Amino acid sequence: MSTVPLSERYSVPENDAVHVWSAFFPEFEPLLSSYERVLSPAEKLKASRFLKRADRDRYIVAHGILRELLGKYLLREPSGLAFETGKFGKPKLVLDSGLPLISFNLAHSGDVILYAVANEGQVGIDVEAVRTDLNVLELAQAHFSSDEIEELRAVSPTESVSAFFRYWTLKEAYLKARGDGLGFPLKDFSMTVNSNKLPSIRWAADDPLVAERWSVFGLSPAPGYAGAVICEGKVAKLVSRHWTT
Amino acid sequence: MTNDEIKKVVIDIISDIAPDEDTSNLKPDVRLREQMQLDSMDFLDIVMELRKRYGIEVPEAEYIKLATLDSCAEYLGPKFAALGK
Repeated sequence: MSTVPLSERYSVPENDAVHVWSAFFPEFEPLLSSYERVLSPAEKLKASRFLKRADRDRYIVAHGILRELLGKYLLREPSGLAFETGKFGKPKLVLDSGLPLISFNLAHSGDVILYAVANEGQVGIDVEAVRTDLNVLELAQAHFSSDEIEELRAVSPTESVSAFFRYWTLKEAYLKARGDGLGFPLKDFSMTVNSNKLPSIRWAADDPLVAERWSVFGLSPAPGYAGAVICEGKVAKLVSRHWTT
Repeated sequence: MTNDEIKKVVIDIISDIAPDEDTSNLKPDVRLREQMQLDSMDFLDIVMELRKRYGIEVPEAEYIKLATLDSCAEYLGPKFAALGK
């Protein structure tokens, strides 16, 4: 487990900040059994349902670290934390009165695990290992908004894969922040990805104030990975930290 | 198509999208995403393949009906029947 003592409490992010923690799965594989011990019975059941051992192990490590990380913010034992899920499966903390309100989100892909921790407002994070086996223009054509498709078509073929993953992770992070899952169509909102500027939400069909309501950050957590985090409200500071053994 | 044939259609698509996965032990009543590492992109790939291979459209609001193999068979059955399959 992390060498950070439980007594070392992490400060809850200020209203204008989001904390993004990254962890590299192979570093934690030897600690699998200790992470498994802190999971709830429901989490252990979920872990046991994966057919492949690697998927099960990643779930255990990702959720074990999540408990340890949130425990540091709340000064609670990792196994003592309780979660509930929204309609589309987004988990949130069940907090005793007196504890600081924090929101969080978790994403993992390949060997990279990302956590976002924010103050009160909703937060969504995504990471994807960039894959070259996909027909990205075909996927975009089927699911993205027309202005995103146009922009993707305008970039060179060599850049279209990385551009697609930047769009994808932004869109996924937005859906996760909203807590809607894929029930809110990907065509019904649009992102801007411009290498010279911060990414942003251009429009959303059900929210004329979407650009003011959310703060958007693109992430490059490791070579070969794209990521994004989106937070409710005016968040100006992104604090990146690496979780180590 | 029978329910088993529809499940095989879905399993075949998953096997193409995620060739490393062993689909032989998939439980029909447990959510696919709880049994294998299928992310949202893979899921939209499945929807796209249903459209390309069989002309079946799945609206976003109904994606949830593709959660398990059993629910896939139940949801897709009438759609295949409407296509005369």
